[in-house]
Amino acid sequence: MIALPSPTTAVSRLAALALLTCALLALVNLPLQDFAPGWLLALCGPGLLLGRLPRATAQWRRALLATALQAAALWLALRFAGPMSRPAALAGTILPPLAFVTARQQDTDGALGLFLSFCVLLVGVILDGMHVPLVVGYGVAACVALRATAHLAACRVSRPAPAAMPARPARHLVASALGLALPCLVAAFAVERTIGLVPSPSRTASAPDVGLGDTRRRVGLDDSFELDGGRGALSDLAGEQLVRVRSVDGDAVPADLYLRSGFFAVPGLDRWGIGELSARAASGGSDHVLRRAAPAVPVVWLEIERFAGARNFVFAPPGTVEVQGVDGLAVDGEREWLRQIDGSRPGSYAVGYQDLPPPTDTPVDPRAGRLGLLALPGDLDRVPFSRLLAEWRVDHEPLAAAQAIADGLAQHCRYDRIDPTGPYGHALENFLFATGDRRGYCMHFASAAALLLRLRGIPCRIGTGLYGGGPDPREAGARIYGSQHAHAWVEIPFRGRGFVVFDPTPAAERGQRMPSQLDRGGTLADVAQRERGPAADPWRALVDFVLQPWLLLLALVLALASTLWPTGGSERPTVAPPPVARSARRLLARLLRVLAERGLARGHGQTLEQYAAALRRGDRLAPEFAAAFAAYQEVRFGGCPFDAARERTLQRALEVAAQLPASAVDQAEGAAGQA
Amino acid sequence: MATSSSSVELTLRGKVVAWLTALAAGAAWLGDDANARLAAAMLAAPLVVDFVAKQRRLHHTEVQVAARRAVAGAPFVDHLTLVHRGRRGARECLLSEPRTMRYEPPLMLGTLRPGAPMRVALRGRSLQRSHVLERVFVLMSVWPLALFRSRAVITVATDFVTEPARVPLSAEVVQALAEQQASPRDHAVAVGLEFHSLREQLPHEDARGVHALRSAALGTLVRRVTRGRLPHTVGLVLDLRRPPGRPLYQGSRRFEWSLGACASLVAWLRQRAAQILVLVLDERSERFLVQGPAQEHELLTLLAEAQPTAHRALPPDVFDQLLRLEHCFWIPAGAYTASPEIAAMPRTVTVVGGDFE
Repeated sequence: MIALPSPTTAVSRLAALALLTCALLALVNLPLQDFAPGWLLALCGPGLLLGRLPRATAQWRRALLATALQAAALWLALRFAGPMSRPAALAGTILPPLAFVTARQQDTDGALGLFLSFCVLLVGVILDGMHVPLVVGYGVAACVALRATAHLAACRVSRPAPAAMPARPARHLVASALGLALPCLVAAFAVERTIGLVPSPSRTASAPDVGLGDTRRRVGLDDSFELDGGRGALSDLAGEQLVRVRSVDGDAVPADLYLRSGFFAVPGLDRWGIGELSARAASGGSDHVLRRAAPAVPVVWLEIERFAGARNFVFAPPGTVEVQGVDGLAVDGEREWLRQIDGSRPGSYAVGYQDLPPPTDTPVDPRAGRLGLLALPGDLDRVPFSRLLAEWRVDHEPLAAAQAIADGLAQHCRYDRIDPTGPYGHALENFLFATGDRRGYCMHFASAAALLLRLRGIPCRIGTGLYGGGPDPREAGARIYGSQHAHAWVEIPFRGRGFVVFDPTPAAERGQRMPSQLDRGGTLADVAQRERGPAADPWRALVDFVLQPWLLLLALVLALASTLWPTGGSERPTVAPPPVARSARRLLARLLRVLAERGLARGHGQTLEQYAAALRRGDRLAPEFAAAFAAYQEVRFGGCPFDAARERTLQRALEVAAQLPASAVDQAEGAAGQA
Repeated sequence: MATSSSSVELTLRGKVVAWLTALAAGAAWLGDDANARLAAAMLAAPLVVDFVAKQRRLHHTEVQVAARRAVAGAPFVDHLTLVHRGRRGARECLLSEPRTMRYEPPLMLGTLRPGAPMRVALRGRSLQRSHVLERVFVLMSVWPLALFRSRAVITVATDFVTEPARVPLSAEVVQALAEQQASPRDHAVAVGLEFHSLREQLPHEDARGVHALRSAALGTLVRRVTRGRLPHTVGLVLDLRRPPGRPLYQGSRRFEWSLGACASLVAWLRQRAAQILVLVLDERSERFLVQGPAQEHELLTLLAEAQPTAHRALPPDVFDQLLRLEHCFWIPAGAYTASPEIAAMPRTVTVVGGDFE
């Protein structure tokens, strides 16, 4: 005869398997460059070993063994795998208990193991960013583990009723847990977006909220190195690939190519605004000529491939004469501003531009004043700025002035991706005038240079976009740009030339390369598939629509409201009295009413027994009343029929009660009161 | 009228997760940190799903249970019929009755399908002598993720009598009983009961009847079975009055023991087919003759409801019928052992529990 495993055993195995899956997914999510396999083995091995140790071993022996094993494993890892980074070492303290709890497989360890694996998963996300498939897989496994531990906890404190449990509880549990996993993931997404919608104090201080359709676009100086003040679509990608640029002629894309996506013209000491725009929808289908090409200078054609996160932007190098392959383009020709209004989707478009030499004797554009490119902040204290201009011998000639300012900034300030600090109330003043370490990044260099140029009467603005990029490993000459290549520079308008780039940021610091998915082993095809493919898919559009935060928030609110909505009282079950008891109750009610009229009212909340006892204490319980009460109780609770004898008993009590004189009762009450 | 209600509350695990969620959400809000936001979202998601999926109509479950008589402290098994009237099935419910299942684990039910009756056997043990007209059941479920607990209190109108716990009678009482049994004259060689045969000892029986030699020889407990004849009617006075000047609610241990002794004595006498004329001395003297199961149940119900009463003098005609009986047992449950009525009884009176300390 084969002994079948008990249902609880099967569920225990399922819980252990789900917990193990969670732990493995959390470990896989850790970055390999921070957690070398040797270190992982050293941090998890002793815990795994101790978890499988028989529990009969004395506790102090196990503690001693754990200490010795862990120390030896760490020493070996330090010797053969090299040192660990500090965050990794801090995060590694969670791994031994996780391994121990996972290996021990006790019922009570389920919740603890889940929590520890969740912490490890978060460490991986913090160190290496979020890998959506791993996190989703972890969520599903965690749902199964939670469901199984909940079932085990209920079984542990109870006694199962025979045949109450399903025949295959583990399979049943997996099915129900998988059914819960999807709502859990949707709820997580909704909560994440909801929290993101709540205005944060730190976000308010650093980067104001901007909308894509707002013409008065602003960006914070103390913002992190993101476009559009951290609230645009670019920032959603968290530093991955945005565009891929290749030359149509097959030449190499210049490494110092600027790709402009926007500008800021309204000055400020803390943040700049975009100012007024006179954008109009470009006509002519998908091909747009922006300006007449200068003679004797070749037009270089670039193919720019946008990925999903960059679909709302049109990147074009300064000096662009024509754009092809973009539908629904909004153009402000004077300001050289391009944006795809709606219906934008990732895809390729072509840009033709001229790499014109620097203007030597060309005057600045006279329309610059009308465009507000000479405006200064209202609260600007000009004295220290003028002192700097004098110190750096800044001339009124645009190019010479720009060069002098760039040299002065390079000597006066230091590039660092840290916000400037100091005693002043504005970031820009701290960047320029703080004593000691004056540091900042491209936005501060560009802002300072633009203000100094305007103080010298040279119109200018801040251009933002991408710079530098990285070589495309799949195609020679092509370059990949991500939000880590976002950059800011200064643009000076010249007559007949448009806006010419002047970059005050030290050349060695422009568009610093940061680790990206390609460096971590991903192929461009994977990236392109992730970024581009789904958006062209109608299913993706549907998913995008469904996953909009407001829709999810609405669904969440509706679900909560439906669960909290009060239900009607009529649905509540009532214990139906036997039908024969109704006439008995009517007679009893009449008896009680007559007694109340005689001054023997039943107290509020008084049971029939208490009422009878009260009457007995006052010597007012006639035998007929007691018999009537007993007859009613027998019918109501004793399951006895309301036969003729009991009915006579109640009728007799009713007659006796009716014969009670009210005065006699009052006298009796008076006598009782005196007693 | 029976009413039911239900509530949803956080479990310990849910409280921990809620606190962690609040901390993570606070950090995400203050720092505008994407990682903290992710942590808060992943922690909040099971809370939200568990709260939304929680079964809130557990109180729509109807419990049908028959009237029950139990002895205080003695285990019993109740057969209940559960009918869930909600729209969806109730899953993984734990059923318990706090009054009778203090030391018993709750019963794990499977899925209660709407409208489908489920019969379950519930083990219980009522510890307190009582007579209640409604029973309270608690239906609890942590399905699906055990972060919230759904709890329904279901009250059912039914008759539940917990009789006093039976107690072993003292040797004097047993001896008095034996002496009062009149054996058939043709077989009687001595006063008292006659040895009849042997049979196996039952758990509830007095160990003093065990035949030591035969038990040792057979390896199992064997009991002497005796037969005799009791007087046709035995008197029993249950005095619930407290002594004069003594507080009403003191000496509850003696009171409970006396009620148990009364129940044991009645059971012993009824096993021998004796009629018992019971006189209960409380606020008003009640007298009834126990000559069948119905009267026995009535007496036991009275014992289940009995409370000590203040001292009062008795009218002289109370003992009229008892005076005609050959033997009478007097149980001073209210500790009024110096009652002058005991001495006034002309025939033999055995005071049960007079030396109780």
